[in-house]
Amino acid sequence: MLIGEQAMSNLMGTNRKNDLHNGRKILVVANKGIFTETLINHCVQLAGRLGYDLAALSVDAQSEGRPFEDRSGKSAKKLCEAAGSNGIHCSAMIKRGDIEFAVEDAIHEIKRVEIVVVDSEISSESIRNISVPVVSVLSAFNDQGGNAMPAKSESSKAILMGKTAGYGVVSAACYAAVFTNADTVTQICSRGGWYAAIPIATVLAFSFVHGAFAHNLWSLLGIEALKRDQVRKTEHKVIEKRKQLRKRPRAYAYVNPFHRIDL
Amino acid sequence: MHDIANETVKFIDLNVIYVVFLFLVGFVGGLVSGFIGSGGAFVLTPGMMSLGVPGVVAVASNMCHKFPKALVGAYKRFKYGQVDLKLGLVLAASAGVGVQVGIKIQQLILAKWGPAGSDLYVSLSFVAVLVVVGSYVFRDAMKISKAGGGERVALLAKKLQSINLPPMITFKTANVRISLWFTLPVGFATGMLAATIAVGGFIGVPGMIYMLGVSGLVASASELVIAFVMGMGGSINWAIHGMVDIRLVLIILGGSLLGVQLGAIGTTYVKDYMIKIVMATIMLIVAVSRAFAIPKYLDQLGVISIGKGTIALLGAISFVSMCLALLTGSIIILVSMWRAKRSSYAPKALAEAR
Repeated sequence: MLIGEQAMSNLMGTNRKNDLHNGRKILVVANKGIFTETLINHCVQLAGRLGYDLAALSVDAQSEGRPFEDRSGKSAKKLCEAAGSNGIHCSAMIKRGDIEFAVEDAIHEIKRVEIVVVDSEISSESIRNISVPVVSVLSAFNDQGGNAMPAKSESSKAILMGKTAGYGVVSAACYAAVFTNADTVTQICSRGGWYAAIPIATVLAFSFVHGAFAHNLWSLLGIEALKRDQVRKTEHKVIEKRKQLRKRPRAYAYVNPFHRIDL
Repeated sequence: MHDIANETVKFIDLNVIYVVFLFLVGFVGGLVSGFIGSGGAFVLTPGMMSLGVPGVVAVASNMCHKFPKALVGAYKRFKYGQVDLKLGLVLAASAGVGVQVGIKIQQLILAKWGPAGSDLYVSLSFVAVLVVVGSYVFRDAMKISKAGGGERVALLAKKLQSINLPPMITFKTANVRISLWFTLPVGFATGMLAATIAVGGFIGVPGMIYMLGVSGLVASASELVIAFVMGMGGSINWAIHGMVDIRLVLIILGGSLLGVQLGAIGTTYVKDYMIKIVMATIMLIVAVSRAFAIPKYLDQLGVISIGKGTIALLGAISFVSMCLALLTGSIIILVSMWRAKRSSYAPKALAEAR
């Protein structure tokens, strides 16, 4: 069953760039109607890198009905908006019943589905026999599909500010302590012999304190590492699975060119 | 390293300009180190000497800042899953031997041809190694970039990996299985170059990539482990001789600990071959910089004769171009990070942009 035509055309409206597009697709399966932020980010990146389109599938396994449709419609819209902003064609659908059957149905309906991406919350048992490579994306803990608890992020930001300030104060105090007694400290550190332990211990201590301050400062400024390993590992898994699938025995047909054909 | 016997150590007086200069150079050096696994040291030593710091104190203080910076950088990149600890430690063992041999060669040249001969040897080593290795790395990076970004194992590395010469050693993170014997020359050359030009990573990182078949990301990260081990050993040695100016170390460390973490974060934003591009760019510019310093040493040895004004001008060009090398590398890193951050797919950011 497809989402109402109006909703569908609204979703498709953002993807006019690729109206005539009939390329390969990634089928993204929601977990209980929700596409988590991690899943959205991952799929959009993957589709962008591989040049594929996205197809979003929500499966109402519990027969919830209208509440499920509303919830999944909003979540699928987020996915398609993210895709559309990156020039990736996106469509969405809802199905009812068993996840595995729903996914297989969708694969046959949509055509050219190359990869199925699911949330890790969906058990591997329920999608074991899918005919297309399945990739499971590990969702972040408490990832609420784009509405990651604002209250929690505010409190974690406050903790981060506290840590940055704390380590900053300690670091500044250490520097002040050394440089207000610069001559004495320099003399002790350059005595040589067993006193060599003092400059070594001093720089290690400063590295710990100032290093922690630097780490928290960059995090506070929003400069953090991108988790690219997930995408890289996922691509590797997809490539490996496709290689395995290609090794299936093929049927060969032999045509006798000398067979008489009555015209 | 220099002969320190009977040298009177003099620690300079610091002012605000010196402090800011050292902090900034430390930051830029740390940024490059965090990104490519080495670098920064070759600017800091002449940088400190240009402020009037005696050469031996500059080398000692530089080394004393290098090992904690490498520790922080290695730890950060270890958390990103980029460091092969076993690889770093195995290479560090042979690098230690290389450092001792490098020092011995330096001492022999110093004894035979004096300080000018020693400086000429250092500069020629700079130019030869950096031009050859830097050009190769640059060409390889350009090839990968044009081909769409997929890094491949070098042919030489593939051949060496296929040779079954016990003891064989497996490096899990690097995803490499190779004979231990082939790791020895890489580590040895790293140590030797570190003792000669203070930057072992310029041969260590390309050696790991093209001889052992390690990816640029893991090679540059594991290099930090080698830098930490070598730096700590050397620092203890210098500290025992009382050559460390703790004030200079802490000022440089103030900037470099900020920079090295930013550089490490930067490696997660860019494609792997970008590390090669940054490294090669810095190497080639530094090679040019050292080439400008060579006439001075040839003049001192009496091989050629040039005026003092010309020597001073060439010296200034050499120093400025060395700083330019670091600056260029930093700009490439920061611009790449900024571009990658701008084009990241976070829905919140996309919503804000609309």
